[in-house]
Amino acid sequence: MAAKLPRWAAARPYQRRYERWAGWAVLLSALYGIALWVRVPLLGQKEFLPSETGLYRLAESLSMGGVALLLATLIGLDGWLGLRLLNDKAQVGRIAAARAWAGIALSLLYFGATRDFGGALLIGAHSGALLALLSRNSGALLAYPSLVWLGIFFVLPLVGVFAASLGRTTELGTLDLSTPSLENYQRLITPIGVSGLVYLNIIIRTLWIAFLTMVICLVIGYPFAFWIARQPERWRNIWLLLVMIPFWTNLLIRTYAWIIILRRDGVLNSVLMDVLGVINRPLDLLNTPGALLLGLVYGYLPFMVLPLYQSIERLDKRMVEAANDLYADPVRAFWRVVFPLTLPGVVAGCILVFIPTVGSYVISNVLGGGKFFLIGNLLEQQFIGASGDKAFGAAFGMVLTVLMLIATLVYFRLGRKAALT
Amino acid sequence: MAKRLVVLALIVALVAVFAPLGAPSRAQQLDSELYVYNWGDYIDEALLIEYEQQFGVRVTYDNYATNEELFAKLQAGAEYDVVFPSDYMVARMIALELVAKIDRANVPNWENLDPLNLDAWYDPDGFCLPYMWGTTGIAYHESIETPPDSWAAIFEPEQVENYTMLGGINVFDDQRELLGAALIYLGYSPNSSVRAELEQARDLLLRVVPQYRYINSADYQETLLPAKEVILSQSWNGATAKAALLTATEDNPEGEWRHVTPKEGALRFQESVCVTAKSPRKGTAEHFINFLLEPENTARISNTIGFLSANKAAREFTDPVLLKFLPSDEEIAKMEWIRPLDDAARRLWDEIWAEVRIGG
Repeated sequence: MAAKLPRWAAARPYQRRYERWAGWAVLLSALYGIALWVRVPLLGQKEFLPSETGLYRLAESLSMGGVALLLATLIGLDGWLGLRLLNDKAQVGRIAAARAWAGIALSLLYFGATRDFGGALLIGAHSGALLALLSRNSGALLAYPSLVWLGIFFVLPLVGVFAASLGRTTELGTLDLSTPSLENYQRLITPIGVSGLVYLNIIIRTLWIAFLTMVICLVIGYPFAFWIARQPERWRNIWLLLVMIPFWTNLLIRTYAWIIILRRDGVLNSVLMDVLGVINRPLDLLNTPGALLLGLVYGYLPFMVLPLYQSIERLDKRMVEAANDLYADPVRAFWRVVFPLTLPGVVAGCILVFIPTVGSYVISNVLGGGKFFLIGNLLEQQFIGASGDKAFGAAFGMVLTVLMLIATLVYFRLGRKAALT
Repeated sequence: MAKRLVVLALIVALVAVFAPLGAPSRAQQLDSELYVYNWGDYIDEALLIEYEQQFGVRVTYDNYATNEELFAKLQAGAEYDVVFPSDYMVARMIALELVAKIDRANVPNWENLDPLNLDAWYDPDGFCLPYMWGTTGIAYHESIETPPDSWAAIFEPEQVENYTMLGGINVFDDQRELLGAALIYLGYSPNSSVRAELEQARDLLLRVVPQYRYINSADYQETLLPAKEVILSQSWNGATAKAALLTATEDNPEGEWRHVTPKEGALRFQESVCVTAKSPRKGTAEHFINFLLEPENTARISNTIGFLSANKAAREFTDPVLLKFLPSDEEIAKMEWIRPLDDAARRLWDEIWAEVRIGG
């Protein structure tokens, strides 16, 4: 293992500081090993250990003596290595790097044997941190926590979803991965009965609703952000605060509040009927496309306003003055100068509204009365609903993720171009 | 001196705090905690507190909304002791060895249960014990002059139009329930896997789905029915009962909602209470289940949630308004259970369902 180390993990010219930190890290792991050794094999305690269940299962299969021996070896190795790294001038970088790689391998083995996620994470993350320290690369060190985070909570699950999408759901609701195939993807583009490409239809109608929400948010949000940016400075923060205050309440509660307003005996209908007297029977406002869009725009508008405000506020007013000096009328000045300069904010706001809207599920169910069957509803029914076909749900989810990724990449391209021109 | 007093006071306080917790649990050999996972709104939560106080067991109580959610959690390794799956899910969980067999000697109150409920298709070896049961019919508002008696009320276009004008219809967002009801109306089995029959059900539904005002099977009995957002709804009898309880006043003690089991027949269901296979607290779990099956306690649960129990002895403590929602023996004879579908049939159902749903 030590023979063919990647360049960044192998020993480089001596840098005392990193070596010392690495020494402390290894010593800490030795201390943790001692604590485990005292608690598990010696005293047989298992409460409050991050790896309680896994270590215990291991102890059952290997015998307590085996676990004690394994832990003692690790403690010895880590203790020796830590002290050498702290005190010695000799090069132990290669050994330490080998220790780190072995730790990562051990964590995978440990997870495979015990299915103890917490314990494996503890071993693996610590070894990874050691590697990052030994690489003597401050950039890698700073990025390390977020890389671990992304790896565990984004890359790994995505790989899992992709694997599941190739499988088959058994009649008992479990996943069968023994014969991987693309059948679930094929199902997405197979015409059904009298309705044609049903699943594609669901994707397109969801994207359409998300697009409409985005456009409405932009049309409402842009003038509003512009107006805030032109207020006296001390008022701006108050207006921004007012934009953000609804966020302090849970989205579900805010959405249910709309029901109280829109339903038949709701606030709006009683105002129209009893106070103003403009209608004589209540309007059916809920469960309409209008109610759905209203809920979505209401829920996601702040995501549009905040980035827009930022880019408008940074706008250099002298540019507008220059345009005026060059005889551009206000409309022309806006479209040729102001709008292109604030395009990065527009792009950011659009992404921030579009993507959550595509995945939204609560709003369409609550304000749409369950009548709008969107991507979120389909996924819910496949995973925790009566359809119960996880493999197909996973395939659908993969397609959605890829679509979103493409959309984001396109947006970023546009955004960068806009920023350059 | 003062120091010693403080220490003494502390010890007394500690003993006072922990003694009542420790004493009964030692006497009854119960564990100090219990993890219970149940449907939302499916118990009288005051009972949990009473159980805690009486027996010194700390109960951690969580809710799920669908059987599949419970199944996914247990498969992912969630460590609950007591769960409440429905019929077909009990069968699946027994097959996958997710539940342990309850030792009836530890649950003497099982004798209160109706043999008809105990003898259900999904649990021939008696792993679990029946909890609540019911049937899917039609809930209608008392203002409707001629009560519906057939599934035609929610499937035939003229009738749907009529009820939509009167106030609107809600149906279930659940393929097995809605397509199942349509199949029953057409005279087929609700567990059919014949393409032609399902397509006929689909065509029936596609004509009326755009007219439905709501498609909600999650919380309609608490949101839609009491607020009169609809005037007719596909409904579980217990949920209709809950809506009736919620709308009951002194002048109208029976509430505004009535229930009918359509003459063509209906689906029935039953939730069981089970101990998970992984539970390290099986004895305490059985003790808790026995507590729930005390006639007074089961009746309290029914009176809170609206659903009727399998507990015969509980009937005398049950709200008489609720007992009216008990189906007759002739009606029960015509009911069918939801059975698991094989692979091909499940896909067929799913496709038919997607067609129905985007047609709305």
